Amino acid sequence: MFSEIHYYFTILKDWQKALFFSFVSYSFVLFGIIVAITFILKDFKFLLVLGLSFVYMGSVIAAMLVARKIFKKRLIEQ
Amino acid sequence: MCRGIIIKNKLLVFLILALPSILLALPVFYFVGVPAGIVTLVVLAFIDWKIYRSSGWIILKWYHCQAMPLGEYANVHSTLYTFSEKVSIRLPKPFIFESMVPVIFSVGTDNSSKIVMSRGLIELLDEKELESVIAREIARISESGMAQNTFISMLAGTVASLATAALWMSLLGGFGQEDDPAPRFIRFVAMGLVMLPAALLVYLGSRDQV
Repeated sequence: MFSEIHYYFTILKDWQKALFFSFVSYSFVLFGIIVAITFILKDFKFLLVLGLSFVYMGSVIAAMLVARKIFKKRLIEQ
Repeated sequence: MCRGIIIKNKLLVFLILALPSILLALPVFYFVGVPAGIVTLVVLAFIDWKIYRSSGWIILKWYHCQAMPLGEYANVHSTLYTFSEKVSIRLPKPFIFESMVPVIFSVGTDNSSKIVMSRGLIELLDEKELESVIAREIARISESGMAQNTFISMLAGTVASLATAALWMSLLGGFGQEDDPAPRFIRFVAMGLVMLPAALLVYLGSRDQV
């Protein structure tokens, strides 16, 4: 399994790796928000967490797609 | 670079500077009155303009840059003079900072530019190679947009430095020493968060054409 992960990691370009790590970092923030909300409400509200995750990850993915378009244009075409 | 992109870049820089000022002035307009709001806007516009113009100086301080002595680096001074004469720009001031990473960049405005080199670059390159990298920097300066690029670099650097701030906060918060896993993980996450907006700022706001 590790060899497969290593293979996929090596075929990624530098800017793609950077975007991937950014995505992981933004996911950690979502995890932190969910933990904080659960502690504040003292209960795990599945629908609230689902909605929040959907909105947050949707925004992050949209931002990543915009960034990908810009990076691709500037780093490859030029 | 086409005219549309230059206008977009300028608009982005204007928005970056103007939006916080407008947001700060709005409560003054609402709670104190129109004259006070106008005065606040004028003061904030002046502060914005000063930040925009002095971003080169901030970057020089940031890197602990020192002016290159004429005697020790006579070849750099003469190369700068030759190339700036060729493209008819005002002679840029050369600066040096202590780093073994070979780096060269220019800051300042179109009328008062500075070329900054790392000691690593000067030690690594021979005379001809150094001439070629200096020529590239001179070409960048001659294409104008220096003040805008410098401001964007300063802003992106400030955003990127938040990762280092996160590391320090984790150290001060008792997560361990600098080499321990927890602070390094926090810095990794913070870097992943701030690098994307910093890189986007650079790509969208700068007028790099060479």
